[in-house]
Amino acid sequence: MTELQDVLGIDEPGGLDWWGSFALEVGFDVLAWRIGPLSLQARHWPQEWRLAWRHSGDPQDTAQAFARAAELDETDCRVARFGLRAAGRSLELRPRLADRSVVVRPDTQLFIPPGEECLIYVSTPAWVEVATEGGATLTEVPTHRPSDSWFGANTRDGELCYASTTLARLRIEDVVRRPHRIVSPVTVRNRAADPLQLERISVPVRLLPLYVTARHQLWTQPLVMERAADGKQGALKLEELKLPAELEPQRIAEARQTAGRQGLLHTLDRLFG
Amino acid sequence: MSIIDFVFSQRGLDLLRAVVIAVVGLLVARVGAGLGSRLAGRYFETQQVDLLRKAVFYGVVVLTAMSVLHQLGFSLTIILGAAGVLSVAIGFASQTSASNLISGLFLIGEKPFGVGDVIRVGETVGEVLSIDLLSVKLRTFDNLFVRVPNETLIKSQIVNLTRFDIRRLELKVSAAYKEDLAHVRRVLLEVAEAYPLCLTEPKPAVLFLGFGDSGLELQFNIWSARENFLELRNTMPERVKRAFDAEGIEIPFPHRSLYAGEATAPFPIRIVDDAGGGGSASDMARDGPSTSAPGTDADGDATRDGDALR
Repeated sequence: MTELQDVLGIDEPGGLDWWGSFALEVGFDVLAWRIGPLSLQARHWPQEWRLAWRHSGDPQDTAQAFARAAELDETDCRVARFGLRAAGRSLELRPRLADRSVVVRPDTQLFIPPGEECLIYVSTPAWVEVATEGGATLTEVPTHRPSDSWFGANTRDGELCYASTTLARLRIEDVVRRPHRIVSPVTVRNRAADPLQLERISVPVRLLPLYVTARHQLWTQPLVMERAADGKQGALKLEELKLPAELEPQRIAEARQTAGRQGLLHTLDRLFG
Repeated sequence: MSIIDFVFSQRGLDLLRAVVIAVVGLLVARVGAGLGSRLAGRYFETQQVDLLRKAVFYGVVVLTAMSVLHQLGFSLTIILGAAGVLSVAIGFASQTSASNLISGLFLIGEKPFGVGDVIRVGETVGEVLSIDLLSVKLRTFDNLFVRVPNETLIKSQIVNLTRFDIRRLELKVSAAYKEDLAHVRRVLLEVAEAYPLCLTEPKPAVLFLGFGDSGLELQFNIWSARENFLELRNTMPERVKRAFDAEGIEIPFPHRSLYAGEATAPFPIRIVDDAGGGGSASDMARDGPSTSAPGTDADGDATRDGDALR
């Protein structure tokens, strides 16, 4: 991998943000980023961009860096070429949420007593959308490739999703800033008469828009997952993001898909495992 | 009679009317079939729409034909009567076709598979190209065209390999008897966890099948998305082998232990060096009697030791 210098100064776009517009300089035809486990490089030619990327395999990797280089290092990388009428001299990186729902499993058992509710902060890996200066999307690359998983009542009826493990933090102060993870506040409400054991939660990230705070942390719109009184039905609602004022959240990306009212009513087995 | 006189005669007018009815009838059949299939296309599967289109088209054609015959002066009663007798003969001759036809209708209604699915019928595995009235057409993975009569499908067990979104791979694994079963299980589960295409839910599982002839027989069950199944099937054995090698877990070769019984002395073994010569007398004293005749080596040739003994 090209030697990267940890450039976090204000002269780079976004500073502590890994997203934004990145321009080539004379003598340097390669842009290189390190975003958590993801190492991404882009080599410029007049009518082509050549991207190479690989993952360190460590989902806890919090490295973040940007550099320019003369040559591409494709060792152990996945490579893709993009042909364009005019490649331009800059690329834009945009953060996106995963392209499937993410099933989050608390690392320790978590119970919600009857009539109670609990706010949990879960994190999911960010996807990086690479676009030209004209706005055309070249590709999307995950910062960490999570494992495939299945969420449903049985093996016939359900959906393909990604799997993630969470510490299920219950206090906002405990949320650690990680550049490649997106935090989702999830309120779980149990209106039934028996305790709800949270083994797994399916977070429908495709329905969520993306925000960034003044601390350069990515957040989604909060979710409320409610278990109905009959214990069988579940409801999913989206709420307005309310963070402490000093965090100044700003919306930076729209949801991948919008859900009508029907999309927000689920059977319980589509929300909790 | 000239042509013009013929045209304007009663017979000519009947003939002209018959032609007009035929042309209009065919047009109506075609337009009606097209309209019907377009409307039905929103609610039914491709093969059902095709069936409806053919039914409308041929239905209108038959009615048109009957009108034309009536116009030309043929008595339909006689024709239908003859058809009744003919139908008995045709019925006997076309039993198989009729059975296929009816089986096809049941298949279309029951929908055990659709166009594009991959099915296994007997020993044939292939992608469904079309579901027709008499047969189903498959394309095998070595690009052969297979026609399977509908009657065969109705009577056989059909396995639809692409019906559900996920699929399980059952990998048979053996471990030597000396291995720690818990360790083997742990290594297998770690291999599954490290591979993103392997689903975390349903959970991978290691089943103990039995104490085999040569080692512990295990079954490693892992799931993947349907489209990744082939890659999982090809890649997983490689990863398991690599993990076993790294952990020093032995995959046993088939082997047999020879045992002559409790009262029998152990088989004597004599080690022969690379030169092929026999061992010395002291070697024989240490190692026990040779299996070959005294004074000879294993090939029956005289040896130095044999001389010494003499």
